[in-house]
Amino acid sequence: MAKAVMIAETPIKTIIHLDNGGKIEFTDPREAIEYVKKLEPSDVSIRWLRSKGIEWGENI
Amino acid sequence: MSRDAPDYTLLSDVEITGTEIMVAVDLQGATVAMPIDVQGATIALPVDIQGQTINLDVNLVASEVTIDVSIKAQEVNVKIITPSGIPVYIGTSFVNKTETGVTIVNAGSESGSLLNLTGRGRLISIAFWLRTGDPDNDSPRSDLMDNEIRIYVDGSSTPQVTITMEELDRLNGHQIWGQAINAGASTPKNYTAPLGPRGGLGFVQKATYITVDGFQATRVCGLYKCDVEFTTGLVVKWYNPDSVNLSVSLVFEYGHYPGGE
Repeated sequence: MAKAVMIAETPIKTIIHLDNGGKIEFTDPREAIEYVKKLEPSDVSIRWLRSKGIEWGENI
Repeated sequence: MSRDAPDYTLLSDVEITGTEIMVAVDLQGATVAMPIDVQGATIALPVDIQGQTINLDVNLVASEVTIDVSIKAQEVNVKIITPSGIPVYIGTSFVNKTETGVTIVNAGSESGSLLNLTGRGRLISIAFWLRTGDPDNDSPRSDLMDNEIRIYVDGSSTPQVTITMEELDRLNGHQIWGQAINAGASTPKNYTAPLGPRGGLGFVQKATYITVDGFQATRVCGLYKCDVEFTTGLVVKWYNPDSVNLSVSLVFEYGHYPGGE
């Protein structure tokens, strides 16, 4: 399973960069959160989810 | 060792074995020189340190320290491994373009996050298009050149990098400013400037009003090659000191360090 190495947010989209070189874009930030929750946890994804008020392991 | 018999091949093996070994070299003097001069057709100077716990302190204390590392070869391969075990790469090799739509920046306030990066990498450039109000309220403003890009690094509450539109023009030789001020209070006019390696203002639509301190404008477009490194995250915001809402459209280029977290 892939891990997030960088997450970029702009007012119109959220881009998840993965350690396999891929990237996935979301226009709905809620969909981006749900996607990151399902990834293998990484320092980036844990920190990003925390910035959204979600602690890793909670409601996942 | 005899000084009278220099014509030999020097072979010197130093082998120390034991459960606990300490070799101390303590050189003290007003001037100490310990040159190591190794010359040969093929040179191998392996340094192999293995242990459960390794502490290698290099402590250079002096009023002036100069470290020269000169590597000359047809092929050089230097890999620097960080404490996390992640090789150091240059984030600029991996650009991912991301574009925002038009964002309204309210009068006299800072925008929300226009770009919010989580991770480790480098923000390479910001291209923008700033204009007054909306299409129905396109009146020229005198504070457009005071609008400011703010870059917050690694969770800092204060921006590490800030640059106003006028400063960005100065970065490129103040070309737009010079053209606009020299033209005086003429009819509305568009000014363009070739961009330097760090960017600048490429286009300004000037209105008629002009003073020695500035001019009114309705459009400001430019590029800022900021090259800002970050290790945990980066946020870009826009500050609008004007008394009316402005709209700004941006394109960011950034690169992340592959394998980094």
